[in-house]
Amino acid sequence: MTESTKPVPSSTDASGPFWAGCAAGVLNLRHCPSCNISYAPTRQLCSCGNAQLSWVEASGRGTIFSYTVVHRAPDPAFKADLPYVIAIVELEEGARLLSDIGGCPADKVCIGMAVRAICQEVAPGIGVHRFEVI
Amino acid sequence: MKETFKNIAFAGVGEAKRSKTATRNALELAVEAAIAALADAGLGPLDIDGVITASPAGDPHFVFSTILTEALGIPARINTTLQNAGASPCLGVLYAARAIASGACHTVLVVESDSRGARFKGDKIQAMRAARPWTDDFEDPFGLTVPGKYALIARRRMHRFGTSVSDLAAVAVAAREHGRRQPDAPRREPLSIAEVLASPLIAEPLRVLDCCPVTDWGSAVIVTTVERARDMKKRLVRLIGAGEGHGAYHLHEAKELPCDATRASGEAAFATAGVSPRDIDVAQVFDAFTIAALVVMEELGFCEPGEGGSLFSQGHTALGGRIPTNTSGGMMTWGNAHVIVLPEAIRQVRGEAGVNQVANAKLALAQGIGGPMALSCTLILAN
Repeated sequence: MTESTKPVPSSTDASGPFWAGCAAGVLNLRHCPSCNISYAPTRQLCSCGNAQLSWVEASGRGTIFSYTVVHRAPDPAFKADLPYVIAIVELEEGARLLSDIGGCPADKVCIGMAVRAICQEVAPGIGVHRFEVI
Repeated sequence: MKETFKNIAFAGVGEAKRSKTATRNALELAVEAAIAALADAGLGPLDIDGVITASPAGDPHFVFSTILTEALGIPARINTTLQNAGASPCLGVLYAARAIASGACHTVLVVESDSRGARFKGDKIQAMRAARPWTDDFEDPFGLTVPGKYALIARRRMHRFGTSVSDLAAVAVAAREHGRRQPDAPRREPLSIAEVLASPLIAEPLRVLDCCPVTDWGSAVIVTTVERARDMKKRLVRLIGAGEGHGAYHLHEAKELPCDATRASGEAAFATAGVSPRDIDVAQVFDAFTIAALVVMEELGFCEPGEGGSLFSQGHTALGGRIPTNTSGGMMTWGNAHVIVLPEAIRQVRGEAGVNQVANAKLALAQGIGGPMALSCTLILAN
């Protein structure tokens, strides 16, 4: 029986630069230069019609928009982490990302807390964005 | 742009028998429900010319509606399977109504069935995750669960409007009150807020008793024209309003949690029906999680944001209350049968709802949610 492992993002043509950036310790957001709007990597087309969004390094600073403390894992690979905090983080640039949160006891996390990105490589050339409470 | 639903009616409703011991796959559950709905309408398979199903998670299969159409021998002119999760049954009715109004067909069988109870054993969260055929790169690496998504919505609601965990628990307590009165109720004893708050945590603030059980189910309704429905066996039930609303699937992309999908679906449904929330006699809304039903009642305008808890805890959603809600006991009682809102809404306005019949119910609302409140469909039925 194979040991369960946490899912690793699949690096595709569109999302690859985001995960590669995380592996290199850089949090990137999609950006429309003409509208000066930053988007999470899930967004692929600006409302103005610009499909040529560029990747721009984000400050990595943000605040907790909402959060939950997970007590029942979706996969055995997460059981050792229970209970863990998952939050939606609103970055200074306006875009939001979902991730897990470290650096704070689960029962002390609250909406509005300041966090910073700590990107981590999880497979060769592929990283994920994580956040910790400042 | 304003749609109208002047000529659409429900002809029949049927459900697969609830059983913890039967071994039926999703197709068999759909067939059983469809046959019951046909019998209720007094129709045969050759009277149906459209089929809309929902994609079952327990037995995923391409062209599920085509297999059902084949099993029933229906000469379908329209035939499709919706992938809109908990919104699929109500959306199925809406799309059937549009297909009938356009002249594409005249009588549509709308079915939702699933074999989740039989297929997903042990830890339901893990079993459902393991059965899901896709990985979401922006959620799964972090260990997000479906209850976790609703928990993120709940925490935001608590932050914005002062919703409390007792408010959430009141939704489960109210559901049990309606559920335990049913002849075949799975639980007879009342539920207290303290019991909900003492149940194990799933994803804070949600606990085990904030989440619906995982079960098998199958329900079918037949949608047709008013003229045809008049000739059928049961009291005429019209669809007088319907609307859908849509927002982002990933919660990080929604401007606020939840997004406006539920509110938009309600506004469109009320506008097409020409009625307001205070005109509705009985409501059947999505309640896979307590927070969902609470927020839906607020977003549909049955109370102000932040007042959903007292709506449920003060008896306003009970029989005899201002807006009796989820009178069957809902998904909280019967498991994750999203479609449960449809048969109950139809039976209420027919006067066939048994022990939980709302006296003189004329207007019923039925609502469903797909994704973590990312899409919603609201229907308004009248006798």
